[in-house]
Amino acid sequence: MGRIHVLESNIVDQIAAGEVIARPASVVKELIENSLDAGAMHIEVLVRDGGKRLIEVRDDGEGIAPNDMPLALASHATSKLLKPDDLFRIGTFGFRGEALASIGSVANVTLTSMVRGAETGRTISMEGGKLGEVRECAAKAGTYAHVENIFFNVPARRKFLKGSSTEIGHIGEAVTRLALAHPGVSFTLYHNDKKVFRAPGADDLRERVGQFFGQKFSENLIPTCEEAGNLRLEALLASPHETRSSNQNQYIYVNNRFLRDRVMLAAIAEAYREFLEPRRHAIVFCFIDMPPGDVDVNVHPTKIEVRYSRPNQIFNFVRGAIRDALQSAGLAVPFNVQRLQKPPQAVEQHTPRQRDIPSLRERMSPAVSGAAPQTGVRTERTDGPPAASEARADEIPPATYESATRQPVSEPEVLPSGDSFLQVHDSFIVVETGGGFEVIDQHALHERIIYEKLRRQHEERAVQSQQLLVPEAVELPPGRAAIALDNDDAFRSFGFDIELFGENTILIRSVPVALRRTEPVGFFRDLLDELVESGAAKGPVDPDKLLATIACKGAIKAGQRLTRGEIIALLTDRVALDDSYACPHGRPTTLSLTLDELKKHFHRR
Amino acid sequence: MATKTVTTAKWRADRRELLEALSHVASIVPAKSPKPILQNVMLTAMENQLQLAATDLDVSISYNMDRVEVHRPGTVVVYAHKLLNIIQELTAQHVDFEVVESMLRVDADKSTFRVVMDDTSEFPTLPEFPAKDEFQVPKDVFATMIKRTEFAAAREQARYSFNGILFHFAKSKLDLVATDGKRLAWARAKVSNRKKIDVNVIVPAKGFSLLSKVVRDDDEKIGLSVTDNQILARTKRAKVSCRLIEGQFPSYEEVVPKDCDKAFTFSTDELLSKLRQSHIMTDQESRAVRFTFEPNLLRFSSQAVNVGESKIEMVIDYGGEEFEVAFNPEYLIEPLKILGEETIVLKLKDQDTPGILEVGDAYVYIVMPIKTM
Repeated sequence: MGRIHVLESNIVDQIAAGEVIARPASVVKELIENSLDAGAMHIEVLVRDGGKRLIEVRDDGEGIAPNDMPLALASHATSKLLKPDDLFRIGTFGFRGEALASIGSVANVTLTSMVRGAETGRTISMEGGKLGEVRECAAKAGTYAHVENIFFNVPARRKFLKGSSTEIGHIGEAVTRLALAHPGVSFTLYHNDKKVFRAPGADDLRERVGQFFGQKFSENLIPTCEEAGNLRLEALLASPHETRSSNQNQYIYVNNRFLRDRVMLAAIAEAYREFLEPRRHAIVFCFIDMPPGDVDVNVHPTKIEVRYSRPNQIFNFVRGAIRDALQSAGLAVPFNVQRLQKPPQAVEQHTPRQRDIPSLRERMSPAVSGAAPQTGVRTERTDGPPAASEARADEIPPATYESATRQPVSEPEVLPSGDSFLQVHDSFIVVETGGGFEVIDQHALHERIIYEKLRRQHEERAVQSQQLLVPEAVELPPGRAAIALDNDDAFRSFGFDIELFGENTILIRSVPVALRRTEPVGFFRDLLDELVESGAAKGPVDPDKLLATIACKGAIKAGQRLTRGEIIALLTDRVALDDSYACPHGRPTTLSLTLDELKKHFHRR
Repeated sequence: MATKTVTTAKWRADRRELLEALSHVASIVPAKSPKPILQNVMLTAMENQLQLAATDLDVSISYNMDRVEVHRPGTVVVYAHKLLNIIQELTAQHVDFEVVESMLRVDADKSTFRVVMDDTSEFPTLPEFPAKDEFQVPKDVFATMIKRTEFAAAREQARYSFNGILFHFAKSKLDLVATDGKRLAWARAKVSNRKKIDVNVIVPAKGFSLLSKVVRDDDEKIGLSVTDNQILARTKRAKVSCRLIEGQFPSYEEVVPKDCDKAFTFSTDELLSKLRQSHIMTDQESRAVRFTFEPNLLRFSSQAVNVGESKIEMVIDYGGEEFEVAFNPEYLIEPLKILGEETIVLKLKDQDTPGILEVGDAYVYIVMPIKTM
């Protein structure tokens, strides 16, 4: 018996569909793109069960002519591409003509449409790739697509759909991406009969961004517009103070088509680099226009990846335009500027002149007076005599040291072992040990400590949660609120009491005691970003993942100067850990060097 | 620099008095600043007065000392903390200052320092205020109110209004309120308001805190005036101006729970002592101290994974039902330390309701409970 068969045509369609239609959000995207191509000004999207049960998209576009109705659902039929040559000058969205046919091959689709000015409309259905008859019907001007039971005939794929909240999150994001590129068009999204958002037609991008991301945020965006040759960039850029832990909030459009490609992401990261702390990402809304011939969008069926004919030129243009905009926006000095200054010895050698004074003075740390460090290195001996300034502190009226010692109630000062330590580059702690020394990554260690303590508290159902006087409201991008709410039990078990407040806003009523000094709104946003980014939010959140994320976000950062008390607390907690040598992500916390190794290195033995 | 001003200032000051003045002024000098000129103090010698001035752009202070012999007037700008260090370490009764060859020479007994000066023209001009809109508040009342609220403000919060003290003066009611979102301190007083002042502004906590420290016994009143973006406070010696914080302050009257049906009167010292004991057995992640009320007994318990646990009891006058509530002891220790009252009233309801510390009509302090989840 022969083993090789020719595939039936509907199987071919299903395979092709798999490339275009990955999940309900892809259906929504394809349908909206068709609506936009048809010149719609109002688009309404209605979904049930995250789109798994039903997706409806209704527009007021020009409609499909009665004769074209069967063709609309036929494979590779499109109104937009007539000659092969046109493939390289693509100005509209759905050029591959696959979308509707693909959807029709994996779902039950009913398409109803009426051309503007006509008296009746036409409707046609397609079930699992089988096309029905065109029938006359009553309709409103525009097109109405009704898609039921996606992947009903592809069980393997249906099985891989995530929970409703995840899918609606993706749909919300898909609509947001399209809405940003078409500020004038009104978009409404309903989920299970509840309005997720409604964005009426806006005058410009800034207003549109305000509708989705909050008025205040959008008002503070930095606008820029650059042109060079046939490249043009128009963007709204968030100030480097507004950052996220992932680049999910970088909306990049080439010729008004949303994409996430490496060239653009790298150009943005590079432009912001000197303004941002490590591992933080900017928020941008960036529209680049270039001749259609310079960009090949036909690389991937969902058109999210593209290929440029001149990637280097594009990279330089985008990076330059954004960096110029940031620099001329009068932003604060990049935070690491001090590190770039000349080493102190170079300055001290010549006689002081007026213009040297600032850099000289910056290195004299007023808080520790006489014992001021001359570089970024700070030493303290836990067993040494107190510094001279401390001994005389009683003579000075309390006002003097108030600013330096504004800590709530002083922690009990326990000196762990009399070992001496120092913090270097505000990131690492070097500890002298009996047999050598250790270098500790302060962030990784603190992360490990919080993780262990919270884990034990969680196991014992003893996580402490500080209630807030006034709940903190967190405005979230569409879809995120649902992810948070779907996991509210998990969040609560770690001390976050949250509830929904309006469409895209979450109220935080209490925070874990361990994080009481962390700013809750930014923290919670980052937490959700991180969960989405790492894919953990697809379906219920894994408690361990949540715990690790809380620990990571709540821990002391690299680059944070610690007080003596804080260092001692860290070192004391470390002793109590079973395994303090790796952070919850598996990165090491500690590097040890023995005296023998040191001696060997210096050829002393 | 071409336009460098040459000064020949020369004066002599009493060391202790200068130390006090300089300590106040230097307390707002930022430890780190992108504008190094702000790390300076400006000293202006004029007719038998020395004026010291500093600013971090949010809060500015100018402080006048009069026990000064001025030989030649003039203005110098020098690095604040170095000068403070010098005055701290000296022991002589008097210190002589003179500008010699573009350096400030400081002499006392057998010690001589030559201090680098900065360009006077780069020092920011401090805000001046019209005196006509000034109103007055009694010094003692106001200083106490500041002391009872400033500690509750947040240190560095993204929500700017939490970094300030709300100053609300209308009719004859003066309210100062500060919160960091986990507790709220509200001091109130009746103050005569003949000028029919009606202001409701948020002032940086460090500004008012500084003001409460520069007042002296011979100040009876503090003069205040408010403009669009500044508040100026004037005492006999000092002028403190603060840039107002924009933002929304929580409606503080609404957050006070109305239904706390259990009121306990404590000796402040005893409660403070018990809380300090319980605080020892807490850590960063387990901060709660559980208050268990039983007939005639209050038990404080705390425990932390790697630290241990504590049980501390005290006899109280209570005949109601047993109940529990947990708080972060720091949030109670802080106000109890500074109140200066012999007794204090603590009002509670249940484990979900905020606790209230009260001092008659003058003070309300709300603390949010900790829940175990």
